[in-house]
Amino acid sequence: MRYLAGFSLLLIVGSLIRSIALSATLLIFSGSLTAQPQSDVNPPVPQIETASAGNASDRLLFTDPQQRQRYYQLIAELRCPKCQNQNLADSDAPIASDLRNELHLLIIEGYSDTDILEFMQSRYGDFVLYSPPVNSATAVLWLLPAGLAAIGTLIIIVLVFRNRQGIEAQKTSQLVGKDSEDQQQKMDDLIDNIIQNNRSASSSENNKYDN
Amino acid sequence: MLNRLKLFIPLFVFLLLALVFWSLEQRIISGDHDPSALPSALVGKAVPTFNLPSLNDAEVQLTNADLNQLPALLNVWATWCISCRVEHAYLNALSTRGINVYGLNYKDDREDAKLWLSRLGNPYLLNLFDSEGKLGLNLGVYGAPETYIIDRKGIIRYRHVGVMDEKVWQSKIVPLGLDWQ
Repeated sequence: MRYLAGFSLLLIVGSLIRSIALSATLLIFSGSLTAQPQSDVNPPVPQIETASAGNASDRLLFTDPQQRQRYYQLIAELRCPKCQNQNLADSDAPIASDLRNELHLLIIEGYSDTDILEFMQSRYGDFVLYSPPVNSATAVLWLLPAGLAAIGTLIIIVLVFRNRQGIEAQKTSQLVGKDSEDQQQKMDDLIDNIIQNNRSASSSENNKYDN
Repeated sequence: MLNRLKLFIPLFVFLLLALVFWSLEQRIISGDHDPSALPSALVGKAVPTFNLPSLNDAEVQLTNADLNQLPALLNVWATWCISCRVEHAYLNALSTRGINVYGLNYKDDREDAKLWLSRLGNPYLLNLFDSEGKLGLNLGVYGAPETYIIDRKGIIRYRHVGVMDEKVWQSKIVPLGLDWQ
């Protein structure tokens, strides 16, 4: 019972850590995203700027700081289909570089973020989106953490409730008292008996040696 | 008694997980399951429109109209791709069996590619020269080799990522029930 409680606690703590880590990475990302254009706006000649994307050696031109900001946001949001645990900003794979160039073109040509995400999704599937849509294939992904947390909480509530009932039962038996006093008396008698038996046994053994 | 049994729950959970992971690993080792292979977003859709030069002749432009009205393989290959060399003999074999194989020469050097075909044999009815990977991007190609199965109407029916061989053919392509002749 006790380790069941431990198990459910683990479930809850696990899903908590997961969500904290997720939001932390999101914060870091959004932090670096918002920080980028601010530092770039400062230079005196902001007309044409070069933006190098993460690991990428490719240099892409943006005339509009807002477009550049969107570019950074999108390469952080889109996943590289080749190195499957990196986004487009991180990846050195040739296909990631191609997709960054394509993304750059699409932004310059004036496509909206939704258009661009749709463009990528229609070619590379839901996989390219780091936050995939909720559908039958991704339902487990979205619902499992919440489900596990709910089950864990339920188990803990049940256990705490049961424990409390147990304590209540103990208290009432102490209040009645008589039963336990009787049992105590019986116990004492039993112990006395055992001690006496032991003594007589050891003394008879001693006698043997004496003879 | 029941409490004693409960002590073994972690062991059972462990054994269950071990079984699941072991069988998964066996499937990966035997090549039945490739964890990095992605389902294609284009299955059930038409081949994207293209207008690309032929590999053999830079003057010749090829379009969707040049794909004939038979089921075919569209094989994405390049000379820098080692696995492409591995599967090349099998593509030659498919071609001699009378199966339509088209090539998409992906981000490659034209002369290198021509040399490759003259040395290793040419299984392709025609070869699209996609030096910038434009059609590749529209197809959702993320590496070579990839092989797209196209039916009579020009609809993509299946995409195989990795080396094409007899095992893949029997287990993935034959069940599509296409009439290749």
